[in-house]
Amino acid sequence: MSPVAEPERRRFLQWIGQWSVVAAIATQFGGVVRAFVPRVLYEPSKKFKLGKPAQYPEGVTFVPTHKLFVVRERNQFHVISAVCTHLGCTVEWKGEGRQFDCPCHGSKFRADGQRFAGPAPRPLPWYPLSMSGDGFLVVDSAKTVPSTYRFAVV
Amino acid sequence: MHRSFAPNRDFWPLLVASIASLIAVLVVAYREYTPEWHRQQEAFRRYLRTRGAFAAAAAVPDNVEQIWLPALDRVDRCISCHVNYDGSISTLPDLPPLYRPHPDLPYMAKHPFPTFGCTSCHGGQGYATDEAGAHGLVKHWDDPLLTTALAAQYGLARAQLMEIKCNTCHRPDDTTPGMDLINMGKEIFAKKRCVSCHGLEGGGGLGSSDLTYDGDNNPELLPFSAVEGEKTALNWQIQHFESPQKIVERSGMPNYRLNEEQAKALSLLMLSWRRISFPPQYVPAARKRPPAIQPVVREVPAPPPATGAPAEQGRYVFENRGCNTCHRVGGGPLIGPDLAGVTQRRDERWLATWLKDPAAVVAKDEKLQTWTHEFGDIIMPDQNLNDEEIKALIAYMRQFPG
Amino acid sequence: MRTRLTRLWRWLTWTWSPASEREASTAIVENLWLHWFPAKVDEESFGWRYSFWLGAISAFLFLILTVTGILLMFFYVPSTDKAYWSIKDIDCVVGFGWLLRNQHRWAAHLMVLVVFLHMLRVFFTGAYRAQRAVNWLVGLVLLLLTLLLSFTGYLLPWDQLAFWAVTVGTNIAKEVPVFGESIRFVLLGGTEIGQSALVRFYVLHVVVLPAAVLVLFAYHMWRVRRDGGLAVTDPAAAPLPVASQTPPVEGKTYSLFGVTPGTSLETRAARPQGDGVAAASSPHLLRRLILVFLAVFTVTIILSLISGAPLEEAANPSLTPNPAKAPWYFLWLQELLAVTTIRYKQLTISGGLVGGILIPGVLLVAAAAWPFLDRTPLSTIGRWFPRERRAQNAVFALIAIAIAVLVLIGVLMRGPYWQLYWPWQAWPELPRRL
Repeated sequence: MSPVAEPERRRFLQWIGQWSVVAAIATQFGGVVRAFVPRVLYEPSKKFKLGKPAQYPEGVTFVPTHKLFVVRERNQFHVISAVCTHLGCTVEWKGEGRQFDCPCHGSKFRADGQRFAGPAPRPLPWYPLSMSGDGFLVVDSAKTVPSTYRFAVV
Repeated sequence: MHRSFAPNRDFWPLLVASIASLIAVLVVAYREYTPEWHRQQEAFRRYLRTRGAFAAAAAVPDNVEQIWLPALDRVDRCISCHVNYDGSISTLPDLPPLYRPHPDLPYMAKHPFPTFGCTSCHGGQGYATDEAGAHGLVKHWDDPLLTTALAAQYGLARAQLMEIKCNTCHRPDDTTPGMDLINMGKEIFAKKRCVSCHGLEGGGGLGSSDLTYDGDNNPELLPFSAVEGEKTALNWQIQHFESPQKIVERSGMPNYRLNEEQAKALSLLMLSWRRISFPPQYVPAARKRPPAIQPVVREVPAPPPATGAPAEQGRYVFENRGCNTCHRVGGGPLIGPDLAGVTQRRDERWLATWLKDPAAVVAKDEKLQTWTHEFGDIIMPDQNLNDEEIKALIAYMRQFPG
Repeated sequence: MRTRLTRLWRWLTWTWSPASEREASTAIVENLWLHWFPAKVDEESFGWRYSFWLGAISAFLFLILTVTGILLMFFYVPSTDKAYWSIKDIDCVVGFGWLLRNQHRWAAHLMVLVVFLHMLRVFFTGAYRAQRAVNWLVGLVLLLLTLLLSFTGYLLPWDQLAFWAVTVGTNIAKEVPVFGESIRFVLLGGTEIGQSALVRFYVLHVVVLPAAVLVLFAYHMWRVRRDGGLAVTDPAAAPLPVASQTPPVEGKTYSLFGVTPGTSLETRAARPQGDGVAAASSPHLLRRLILVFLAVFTVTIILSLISGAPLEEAANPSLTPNPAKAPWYFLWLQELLAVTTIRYKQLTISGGLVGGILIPGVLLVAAAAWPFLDRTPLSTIGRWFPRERRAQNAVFALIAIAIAVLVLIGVLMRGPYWQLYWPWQAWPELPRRL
C-alpha cells in the first residue's frame, strides 16, 4: 500500500501510537528525575533546641554540632551562623580581636557578623530564637533576622 | 615457523619497555612481600632460635595480627610486631623490649586485651601496620602513642601522661586507684569550686566556658601568643593554670597560686574530658562520694538601684565589670562576701588599695589569708579597674549600710 | 602432533603477527579487537613529535583507572562511618592494596594532565578545524567528564581533604543564578554533605561517568577515522609524496555501517596514500600501542612506589582544616574565586559566581565556538605553529600558562588562612593537642 493511498484514519492512529510512546518515555524520564529529588532528609531539623539559657555564659559560645555561635549579653541572646558565606567553611571566633576568621580564603567578620576583609559576599546570618515550653532556647535556622535582633530571657 | 614479513619497527624501545615493566612489577612484589611486620616477625623467630627456643620460634606467626573490637568500633594491629604481648609465645627472661610481654599490672585483670585492645590506653593508630603509622607519629592522626619521650617533654612520667586516657572513661569516679595525678586534679577541682564560674555537665556557673568536653576543644582556637614552648593544648592548659592572666588577656579567672604538679594534674584532667560513647558493658562502676552542697551562681543577680550620679555610675561599673557574679549588696554572700556595709568596715583608702590589687593586700595581711578559707580559698582576682571606676564603686557601696 | 599444535597456534595468533601484506589487511577485519583500526596507517601518524601519542596515553591511563578502580570496589565501603576505615585497610592490610590505591590516584592525576596537554596539542596543530570540529566538541565534553570523575572520586575517602573540597565545590554550584540551590540540593540529596551525597557521588564516579566516557570515547575514536585520520595526514597539510598524486581510484573504503561508494573528501582522505608511506596496522600500530601502554604502566608503577596517596583525618564537619585546598587541577579556580568578589556600592557578586562559574564558563564556550570562528587558511591544519596561526596560538598558550601559574601558586604558595608564603618559608606552626 503506497503512502499516498493510506486513509486519514490510519495516519491518525499511527500519530496517536507514536506520541503515546513518546509520552510514556517522557513520563518515565520524569519519574527518574523525581526519584533523585529527596522527600525526606536524614539531617537534623532546621528548627532545633539548644540548651537552657542558664547554660550559656556571658560572651560568645561556639556550638560545633550546629555550627553556630550563641552570644549572650547579660539576659539578651542572639545566634550567629558559623558557616562562612563565601564557600561554606566553618569560621573561628578570635576572642582577642573580637572577630570571626575563616581559614579557607581569609574572610574576616566583626563580632556582629559584618564582613570587613576577604572574599565573602554577605555577612554571617543571624537566626531567630524562641523559648520552648520546657525552658530551652530554640533556634530556627531556616529564617534570618537583622543584626538589631536580640532575644531577651526573663 | 614463519618469519614476519614486515621490518621490526620499535624493536628496541619495546624490548626496553617490556623489561622495565617487568622490573617495576618485581619491585612491587618485593615490597608487598617484605613489609615491616614480616621482618619483625622474622627477626623474632631468629632471635628465639639463637636462644634455643625452637618451639617458641615455630609459634611466631607470619601474618598481620589484630585485635578486633567491634563494640568500640576499632582495630588494633600493634600485636603484629608486638607478637609476644601476652607472653603466649615465650616467657624467657631478658627479652628485648619489642618482644617482651605486657607487664602484668594490677588493673590488667579488669582491662583484658580482647575487650580493650591497646590503643584505648596507649594511644596510637591501631589500623596501621608500620611503626611510624602505628605509633601515630604521622600527620593527620591526633592521638599519638603516649611514650616516655613525649611525657618527658612535659616533665611527666609516661604512666602520668597516660592518665588522660584512663580518665576518658573513668570520668565519673571521684578517685580511681592508679590515677594519682588526676585524682589530685579532681580534688583540687572540687575544693576550688571551679563550677562556681564554669559550666559542667548541664550545671555549673555562667562566669566562663563550659568544661564538659574541654579535651575536644580545637587547639587552634586557644590564644597562644603568651605561651612558651610548643604550641600544644596540654602546654596551654598547664601555663594557663599557673597564671590565667598571663595567657588570657583580662582574664577574670583567679590565680590560685598552684604549683607545677597541681597545674599539670588539672591540665591532664581537662584533656581527659572528651566526647566518647561506648556500650554499657564498658561503663565502669562509678566510685562516688556522696555529693557535697556546691555553691553555684545560676542567675546573676542585678545589683540594687542607686540614687545620685556618682552612685549610679558605680552601679553601672558593678554590673558591667562582673562584680555581681561573685558579690551581692545585701542578700548574703555568694562566692565572695556580701558588700553591704563594707564602707563602714573598711576605710576608703583600704578599699581603693584592695580594688587595685587584692592579692597584694592579702599577701601582706596574715589575717586575711586565713579569712579566704571561708570563701573556698579564692582570692579576688585583679579586675584591672582604673581610679575613676574605683571611686564610683566606693560611692555606690557607700549607699548601702550593713 | 607437532604439526597439529603448530597449526593450532597459528590459527589462534595469525592476526597478531601476519605473515604477508594480505594477511595484514584481512587480520584487521577478521579480529574483533583489531577492526577498530584501519588496515593501514600513514607513516606521519606514527611520528612521536607530532602528537606525542597523548591521546593514546590518556586512553591507557583510563584503562588503568578502570582496572584498579574495579579492584578497589571490592574493598571500599561507601558509608559515612565505614568509608575512611575501609581505605585505611586498603592501605595497610589488603594485599597490594597500597599499590591499587596509589596507582589509581597517580593515574587520575596524570590523566587530567595528559588530557589537558592533548587538548593543547590538538589546538596548536589546528586539528579541530573543518570536519574535525565535532570531535573537538566531543573532546571538550570528555575533558569535563574527566574533571568530574576526578571530583566525584575525591569525596570517597571521606577525610577532611575530601569533605571540605566537596563543600567548596558544591557551594560553587550553588552560585549558579536561579537554579543554583536546586542543583546543589539534587547533587547532595539534601542540604548538607552526608550519606546521600556520598552514595550519589559513588555511583556517579563508578558507573555513570565512566559509562559516559566509554560511549563518548568510542565515538571520539570512530570520528578520528571518519574524519580522515590524524590531521597531519591531510592532503592539505604537508607536501604530498609522488605516489598519491595519482588520480583517486574508485573503490571500497570502510565506514561504520557499510561500504561508501564514490570519492568524497572523507573517503579520499581515508584512503592510505600508498605502500611507500603507510604501515600495516597489524603489526606496526599494535606494537606502538603496546609500547605506549607499557611505558605508561611502568611510569604509574614507579610513581606508586615513590609516593603514597594521602589520607588526612576523618571528616569532621565542625572543623575546617587550615588551609582547605581543592585538588590541584581546581586550584586555579580556587585562586580565582578567592579574588573575584566584586563589590560596587550596594551590589556584591560572590567570587564563587565570577571565578567559579562565569570565567570557566566563558573559557569553555570560547573553546567550543572557536572551530566555527577560526578564519585562518585550511593549509595550516596538521602543522605545528604555522605562521598564520601565531596570534591564536599565542592567546591559547597564554591562557594555558596563566592556568598553570595559578595552579602552582595554589599548590606551593598558599598557607593557613590562604595567606601567601614563599615555598621555602615555613608555615606558622598550627597548635596540636599533645
